[in-house]
Amino acid sequence: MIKLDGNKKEALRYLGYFGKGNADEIDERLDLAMREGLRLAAPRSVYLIFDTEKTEKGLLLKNTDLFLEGKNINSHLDGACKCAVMAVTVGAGIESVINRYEKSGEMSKALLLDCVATALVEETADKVNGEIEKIAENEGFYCKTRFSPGYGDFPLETQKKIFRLLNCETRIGVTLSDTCLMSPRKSVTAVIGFFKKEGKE
Amino acid sequence: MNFENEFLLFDGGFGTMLQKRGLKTGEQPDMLNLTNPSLVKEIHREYLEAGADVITANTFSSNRRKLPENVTPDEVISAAVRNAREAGAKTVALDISQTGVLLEPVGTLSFDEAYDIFKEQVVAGVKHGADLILIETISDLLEAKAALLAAKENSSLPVLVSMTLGEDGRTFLGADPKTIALTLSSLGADAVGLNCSLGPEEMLPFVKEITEYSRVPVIVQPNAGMPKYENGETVYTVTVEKFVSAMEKMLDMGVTVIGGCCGTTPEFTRALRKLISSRKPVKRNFKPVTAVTSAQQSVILENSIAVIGERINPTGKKKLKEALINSDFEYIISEAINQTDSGADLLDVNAGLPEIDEEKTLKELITLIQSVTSLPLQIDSSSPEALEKACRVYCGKPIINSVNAKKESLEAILSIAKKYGASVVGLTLDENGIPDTAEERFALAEKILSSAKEYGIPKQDVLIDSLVLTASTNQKAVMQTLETIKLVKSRLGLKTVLGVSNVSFGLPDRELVNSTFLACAFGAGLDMPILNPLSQRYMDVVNTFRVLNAEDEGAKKFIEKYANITPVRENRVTVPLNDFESIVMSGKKNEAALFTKEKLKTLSPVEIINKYFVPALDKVGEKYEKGEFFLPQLMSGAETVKAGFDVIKNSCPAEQSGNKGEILLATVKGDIHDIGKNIVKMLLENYGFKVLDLGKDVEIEDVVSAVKEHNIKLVGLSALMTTTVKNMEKTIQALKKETPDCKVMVGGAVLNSDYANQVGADFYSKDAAGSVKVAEEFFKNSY
Repeated sequence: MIKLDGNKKEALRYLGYFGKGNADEIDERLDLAMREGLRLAAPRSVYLIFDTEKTEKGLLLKNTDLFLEGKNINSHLDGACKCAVMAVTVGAGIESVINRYEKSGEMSKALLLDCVATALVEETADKVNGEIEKIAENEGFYCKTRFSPGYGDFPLETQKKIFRLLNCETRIGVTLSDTCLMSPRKSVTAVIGFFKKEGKE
Repeated sequence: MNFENEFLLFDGGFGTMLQKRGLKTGEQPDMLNLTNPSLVKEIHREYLEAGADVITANTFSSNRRKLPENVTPDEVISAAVRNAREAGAKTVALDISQTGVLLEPVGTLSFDEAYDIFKEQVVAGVKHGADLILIETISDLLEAKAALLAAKENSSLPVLVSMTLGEDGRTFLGADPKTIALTLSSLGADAVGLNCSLGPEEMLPFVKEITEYSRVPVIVQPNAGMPKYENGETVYTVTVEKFVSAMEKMLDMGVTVIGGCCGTTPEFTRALRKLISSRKPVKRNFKPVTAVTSAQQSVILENSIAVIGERINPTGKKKLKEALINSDFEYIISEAINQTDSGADLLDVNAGLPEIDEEKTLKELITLIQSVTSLPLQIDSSSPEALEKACRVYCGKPIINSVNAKKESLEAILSIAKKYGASVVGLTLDENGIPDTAEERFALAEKILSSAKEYGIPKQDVLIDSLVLTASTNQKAVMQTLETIKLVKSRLGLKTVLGVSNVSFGLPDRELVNSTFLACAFGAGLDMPILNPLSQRYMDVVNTFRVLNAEDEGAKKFIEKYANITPVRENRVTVPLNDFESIVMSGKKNEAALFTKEKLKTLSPVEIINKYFVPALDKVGEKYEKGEFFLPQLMSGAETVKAGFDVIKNSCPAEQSGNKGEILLATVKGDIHDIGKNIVKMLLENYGFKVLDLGKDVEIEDVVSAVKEHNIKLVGLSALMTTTVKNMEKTIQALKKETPDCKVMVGGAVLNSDYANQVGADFYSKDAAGSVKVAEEFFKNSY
């Protein structure tokens, strides 16, 4: 089980706070929301690591039908020997409480918890990312930052193959709509490249 | 097929066998039925040789959402069943699992759509000769219900339903084993149980609960342990010996249908065959209980009482009546939440009003209320059609309120209760009305029970309401009601329900009369009072009785609640009546309400809005724009103004409460991120605009037809993702074509004013405050 700490600073950032204005005023409410978020969050993760092969279509994860397409991802992963594919979520429970607040007109509570949930799912992704980096380290690789479908020209459609590959539905209870949006919403998928250490400056 | 007195052995993992043969990860195994039938047959054959009774056809993902577009479920299922037969299987199970999208409200799939997807698979399975239907690896109870109904309504085959739990003993959507067992076994599954996700050892405590509460035989197919990720690969590490020893413990609990899931191989099947060949099925420690369930939890009446909240019922409640007529679901939701927070154990839901379409509204309410409370519901209607529709989409095992001893009622209602596994409240009245004496009412209770039994409804699911008459008009009848409870409990052993509040009608201090009567009724054996849980007085009686009937062990909860209470006199807050702005800035909702009440004595609603609400909101908005406030503070201010608005709404007819123009809002098709839209909605309402909110993932046609129906002149659309902005564009195109004089404003994370122009919008607003400006400007000339 992944243990979350809850990063208030991050949550503040999602709330639109960039150092301007007075954050102290809502500090207490954010604390409450963070505690509620930590209680409701059910962080789950799944990832697999593949060898890679450079092809015309884009980087291929060996022994799968997943090509990583688009200029951005291919330059980001240029020279990667291996590639991890990960998916994480904080679950549906936190979302139904956000929904409950929204529907009963408690929008500020909904908003606070929504931003807390975003911070928590990012924290979950960071933790799993860290786990993957350790694996890379042990095998003599280093990792570059994770990259998610939908960023730049990395097609959102890639989600479909990632979901099938990781079996997200059964493993972590996340499903994909026809428009490639995840439910529960507070979920993250990403790929992480492994690079040989010699190449590092 | 009998699953209780004989063992039935299913096969093991299919994907695992493919992995061993080097199938690419991520490829769809179901397609192999067509592309490589000999491989599929080979795997089936290995399981048959190992001793499996049933071969699970390779159809786990053979639904129209998951198969490639050029292949139909019928083709794949036809080939899959044939492959299993040709491998030598005597018994072939059609395998059905998740559609791949979550159902509403968390996801986007409607119950009916899910049903259709499953129906297509069932029809194909029947057509191509499957012998039974296995619904498995499902994590949403409502999805399991849709699949089960699709199977039962479109085939006569036995249906086994198996769900999957996380380590915490709950499904991903929060249902626990008791709730799963009670709900699905009442709904008519032929076996209920668990598979996948966990190994057999981890499953033991959960399987035990299922064996205790399931009304039908139990099926278990664990993984070969928890999946572990070693060097980036999924591995299962439980040995055959350990697997079998845990499975043996399950047989001791009375499990009769077994097999394996991910990571298990023919070795496991062989060992399980050996295990059952030397054993006989054991009788389960089954507890026949009266229970009601929701999507997540169960209320089980075992030496305990349960409070049914009465407030979502328009009878005699003006405000709720208006809310129903105006589709003001926010008020109804707040009633659901308040009752939940006040300690109700379940909620009654009634939408019976001649002015509205009850069938449609009740169904909508059920889904909506289930999205904000995890309490089980009592579905309350006199219309069999409305009851059936509501029971169908309800997630869990509900109570139907009610049937009575009239022939017509028994015939119409009991079949619905049976079909949907609902408990049913039986009122002791018939064609001749409510009898005077307890003995006569008891006779009607007996009649209802015997009819229910004819329909196959178990005794535990029949609840009797012996009907309360008002003490002011029928003084002598009150004790007859209590006497009936005693008779029903002692002679029939049924649980009882009673609407308490009626007794005090026409008397002063009704709460006093009701709470005294409630205490008497508990004494007579009442199990489930229907009352207003917001009344502290009633809940005091309930909390006290829970000590006296030994439900609240060691009076722990009672002491926690009452030990340190010093009675407080209500301190009336003095409101500085000229400073609404500071009330709003500090987010004091109660004060805003008091302020508005006070001002209403001298000012009209429109005056209050213009003189106080709008300037205060402007001030908050200004601070937000300067960056002194940020969004939660803006919203908090808006909520405070809203508290004032609610006062106006409650005291004046809608047309007088100021309407600056009507705006339709929707988050476009395909997009489920609508918190931004909801913020816009709240702010617009605060400024006196009427908002028609169509919600999220809204079909293009629905936007167009609502614009036409309500003669809308300004539409606000939101989209968060680049991909869904396409649907925004299509929606705008449709609006421009069908309703050319309607203008559109747009907003959302990926939009800017250029982009908004490109998609054909008339206005762009960067945030909620901006949308108010657009609306003010737009309606300036018309009002």
